[in-house]
Amino acid sequence: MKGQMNTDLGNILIDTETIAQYAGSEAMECFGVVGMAGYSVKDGLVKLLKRESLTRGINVVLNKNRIYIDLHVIVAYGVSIIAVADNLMSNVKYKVEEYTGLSVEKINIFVEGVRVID
Amino acid sequence: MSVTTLDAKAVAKMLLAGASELNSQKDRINELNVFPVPDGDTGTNMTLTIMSAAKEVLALGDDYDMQSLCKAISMGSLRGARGNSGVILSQLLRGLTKEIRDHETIDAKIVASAFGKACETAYKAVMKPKEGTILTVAKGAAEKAAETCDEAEDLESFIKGIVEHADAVLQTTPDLLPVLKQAGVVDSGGQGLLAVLTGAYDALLGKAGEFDPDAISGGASKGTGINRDAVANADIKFGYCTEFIIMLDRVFNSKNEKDFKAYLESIGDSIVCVAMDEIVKVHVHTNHPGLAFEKALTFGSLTSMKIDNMREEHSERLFKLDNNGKYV
Repeated sequence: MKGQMNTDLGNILIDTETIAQYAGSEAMECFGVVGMAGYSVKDGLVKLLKRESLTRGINVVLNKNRIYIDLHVIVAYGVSIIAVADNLMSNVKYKVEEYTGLSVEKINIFVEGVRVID
Repeated sequence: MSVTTLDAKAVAKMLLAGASELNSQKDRINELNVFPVPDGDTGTNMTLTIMSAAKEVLALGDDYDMQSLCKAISMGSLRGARGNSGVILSQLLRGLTKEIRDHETIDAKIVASAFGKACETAYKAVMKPKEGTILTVAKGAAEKAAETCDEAEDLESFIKGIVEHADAVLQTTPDLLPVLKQAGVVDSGGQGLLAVLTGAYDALLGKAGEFDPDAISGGASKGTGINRDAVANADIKFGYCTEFIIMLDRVFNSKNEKDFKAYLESIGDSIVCVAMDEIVKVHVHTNHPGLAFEKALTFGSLTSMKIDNMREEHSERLFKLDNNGKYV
């Protein structure tokens, strides 16, 4: 299902992929997040993703113009995971709502790994 | 009196002074907060983070060495980390203490390498570091420290140079981050870091007052709460937060919408009016919720009506803000 807005001149449809890209680029700027993790069903391995496939760690569902986002992330070692997850939710919610004009109902954070950075 | 080295006691004193200075500037820093989410909580979050470190330090009592002090600062700030800037601050403190924990006395060179380490640790913890933030200010301080540590004769002038440079870098943040420029502010997190550095510098000069343990509860303390309440109460011009949804009976075109918004503006502010399919969601702060309802009734029936007295709720909201780090 796509996000939909009706205006006088016509309809605007927003694909979930678009929302996932916004959410992904915002997530990457969030402090404490060092990577997005794609969950591969085949081997069950959590892999670090490169920039171009960053939407793979993100699942967006639209239901009645409300957005539900799942983010699979890798966090840095030594930061408070709860604080990072909390920031991630509020940053992504704010940006996605600002960009799309739709409301974000839920953001679920899956911390799939931690990377020791020093 | 010139100081060339610092021991654990001096470091502890500087941290506590940095924490009090940040606490005293908290409200001003909150007002600067426009990035990444303009929710006005940066000062509160950073204060809660550093106060958690201060609490651990005070819990050490009088008998501690550099190792245990560093551990206390690092763990305290990690546990208390809240909000974006708070997490970054905790990471900066972690990097800083990692470098100094192996030295019983610290000279300018070690301060410089500790600043470098702090900055490096913080930058590594984010995929796409955003410039024009607290990170930029930390980097500026670290670079200045590395540059001047060789010829530093005493710590007073050395740290003074770092603080001044950090301030200069802070003033450039609006050039790096357009959203700051639009709002006409410097970065709030950077301002918070500068407050910590300034406080620490004052402690080095012996200017800082005694640390007030009551300040530890940060934003949630009763003393400051009352003050903020009074200030914020005076700021609330429209007392009722009014929300409702109109189930449209007739056409609501852009002209209707414009007129309706104009009407709401005449009786209040903070207006949100979004039309979607057959419904219109309305939010307004006003002193006359009834007028907003009456006007809305001309377009259709209402549902999900909600009116809150914001003046009454204010203290409760402050409490929630402090606990969750954001407005609810």
